[in-house]
Amino acid sequence: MNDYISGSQADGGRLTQAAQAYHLIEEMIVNGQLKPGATLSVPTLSDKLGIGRTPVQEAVKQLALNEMVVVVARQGFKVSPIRFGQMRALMQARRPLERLLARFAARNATPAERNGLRAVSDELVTSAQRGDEEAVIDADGRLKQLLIASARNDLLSAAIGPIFAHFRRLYFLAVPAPSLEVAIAFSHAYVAIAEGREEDAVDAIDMVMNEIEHAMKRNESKIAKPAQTAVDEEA
Amino acid sequence: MGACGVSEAQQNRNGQESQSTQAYVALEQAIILGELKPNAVISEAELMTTMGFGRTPLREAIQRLAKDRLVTIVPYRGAFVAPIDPLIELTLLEMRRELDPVLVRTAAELATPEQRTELRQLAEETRRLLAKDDRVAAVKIDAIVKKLLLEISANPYLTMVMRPIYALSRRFYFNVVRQPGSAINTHYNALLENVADNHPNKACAAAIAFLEELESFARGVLLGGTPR
Repeated sequence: MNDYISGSQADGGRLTQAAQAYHLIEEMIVNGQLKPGATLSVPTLSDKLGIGRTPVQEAVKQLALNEMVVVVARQGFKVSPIRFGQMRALMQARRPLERLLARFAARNATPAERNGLRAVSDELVTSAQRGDEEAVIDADGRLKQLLIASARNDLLSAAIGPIFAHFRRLYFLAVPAPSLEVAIAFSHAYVAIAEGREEDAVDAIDMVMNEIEHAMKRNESKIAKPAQTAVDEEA
Repeated sequence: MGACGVSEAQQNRNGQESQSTQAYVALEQAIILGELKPNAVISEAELMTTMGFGRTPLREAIQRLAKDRLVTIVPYRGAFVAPIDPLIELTLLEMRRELDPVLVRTAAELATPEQRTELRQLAEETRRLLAKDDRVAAVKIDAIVKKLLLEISANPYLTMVMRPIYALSRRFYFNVVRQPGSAINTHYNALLENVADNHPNKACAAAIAFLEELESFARGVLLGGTPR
């Protein structure tokens, strides 16, 4: 697992607990269990997760650094609003990181990881062909974990993990799952990564990012009218 | 405001937190400038005397530096200045080859007239400080430049990604590169001037040239190979 909290070293058990708390709270935000604007209470979360207050506090602070949580003066921590207007900003940060992820994974994946990439990538395409959104999102998530593990670059995983989390949160709300076009474009990239063709993989990732940007433009009208819980800060 | 704004707002809420920020800045600078050498023991007791900070602020500062990877905490043994790892330095530079052009291009496109003026002044100041080899001031100016570029980009996600990368890159630049070769400085200043003058492509090219120069220098120093 990549650990967004401790960096390269774990400080005994405590930071590992903070990392655990981080992942659990992040997941609650991503899947909408904690809604945008909801106040986060460290004692409540601590009881709920069965993790001490200090590590929970630390996790919440890290979530604030990663834009999942905002600090509101005199009110404490709140789940950050969904900023649909910020989709472009997210993509802008995502593209260079995805290119790097492809590069490092193509270079460093083990043979088993390469087989895994091929297999799950097939699954992604067949799920998209069936129009099974849930299976698409599931395969997409597993591929990302596999890529992050294959890249063996914890600086990169610390950077891209939160970006992926932001995108996953958008999937749960208003953004459609990867379309067939995107799934196929992704599969070209994954095959290139699996075969260790670094430059081809980076080019293929660029195509995917272009495809996603086009899809976002096509869906702009839908995205512009998000669910009621969403707040568009840029409006 | 972005990622940094959040924690600063939080830190200013009480005196102790801002003490820990002061301790963080002072310790970071000592590490970046090589006053605290790689692998040196970070003794809380000693720093309490020499720097005049309390134990809690110091401990918090050390935790933050561990997150920046400038400090290694070994359970039951204490805190040490992280060694300079050639592989990590080269990985960082490779990552910046992708990320810096995005930031620099956006900054060139979006800067307000006031920000462009500020960038020109910072470029001038950088040139002056490098000529004097005033590294203490150069470290501060560099932090201001990075913060300004991220602010101009108005992209909180890019900021959250780049901040730790810059935090880690600074030590190598100021501690190892020390008296950087003139090509590195020229590219760096060209980068700032082109951002200021609204030339996104030229600013991008300068960023890449700067990083290539730095990488070839890094390979020479770190791996003992001949610079390309």
